[in-house]
Amino acid sequence: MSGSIAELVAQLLAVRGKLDAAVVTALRARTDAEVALARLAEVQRGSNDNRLRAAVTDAEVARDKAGRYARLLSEAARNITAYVNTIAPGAAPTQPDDAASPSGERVVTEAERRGRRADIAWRKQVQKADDTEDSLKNAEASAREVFKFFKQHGDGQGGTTSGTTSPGPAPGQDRPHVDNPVTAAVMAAGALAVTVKAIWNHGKARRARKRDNNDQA
Amino acid sequence: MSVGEVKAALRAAIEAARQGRRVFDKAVSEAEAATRTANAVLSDSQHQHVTDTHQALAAAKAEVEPTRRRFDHTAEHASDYLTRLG
Repeated sequence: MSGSIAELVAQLLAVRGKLDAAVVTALRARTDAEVALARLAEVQRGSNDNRLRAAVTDAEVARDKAGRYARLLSEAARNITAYVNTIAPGAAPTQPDDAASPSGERVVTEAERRGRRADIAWRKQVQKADDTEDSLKNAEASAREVFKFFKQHGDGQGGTTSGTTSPGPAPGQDRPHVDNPVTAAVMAAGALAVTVKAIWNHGKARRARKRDNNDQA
Repeated sequence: MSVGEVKAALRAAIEAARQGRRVFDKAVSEAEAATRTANAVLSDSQHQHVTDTHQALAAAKAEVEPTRRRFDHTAEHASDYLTRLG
């Protein structure tokens, strides 16, 4: 039973990671619409052409809709985080609020500046976390906390009967403070990838141990 | 603005709109993959957070085609105008 919840948590965290990546990509599309709009607006000064006016309106709506798409995806990601923390408290590190609602000029400007490199940054973050022993240790500790929690709550596989120990929140990742929502989202995605990987590794090791025990019995 | 400058600005706008469409399509395929997994994994939960997740993803899905159309129309209308300038 705990195994299935752990799997559910891992799958949901992976979904959240994908949604975060899609948000960043949608914001890049929004920036492209913004660029198109700026060039069209330059041309439009002194012209009254219907096609040009239509192009300007189209670019405005494309920009607004791409932004709305990004906001809706991040709203879904936020709800998934909340749900994961409901079924396994502390399993999903929450993002800063403003990262979850990407809107406003600041985020767009940042998306323009950094968005095109977001994929690279994401991979780098995962790579960095993979290479850093401390980060991985933290992630593994988080995974252990999650498993400990499952064991304590209705595991049914030799779990404790006391059930009064409430699990503390999993040890947080040692993340530097960033007040840039896009960077924060990208970094959160990276940290998540490592945590998910650690949960899987931990589960794998645990199943392997169980198999060994069964073999010996 | 000279005619040459106008044409250059229009070409830049068309290219940005076409690139925006490609980038948006990439966002959509990323989001669709996530949505498929979310729907499969969360199919039997009635929790409020789960309901809200489904609602947000459905609302996002409804934006896809209108957004694509607007990117395409931006490029088409700007191209028409560019053609007219000769």
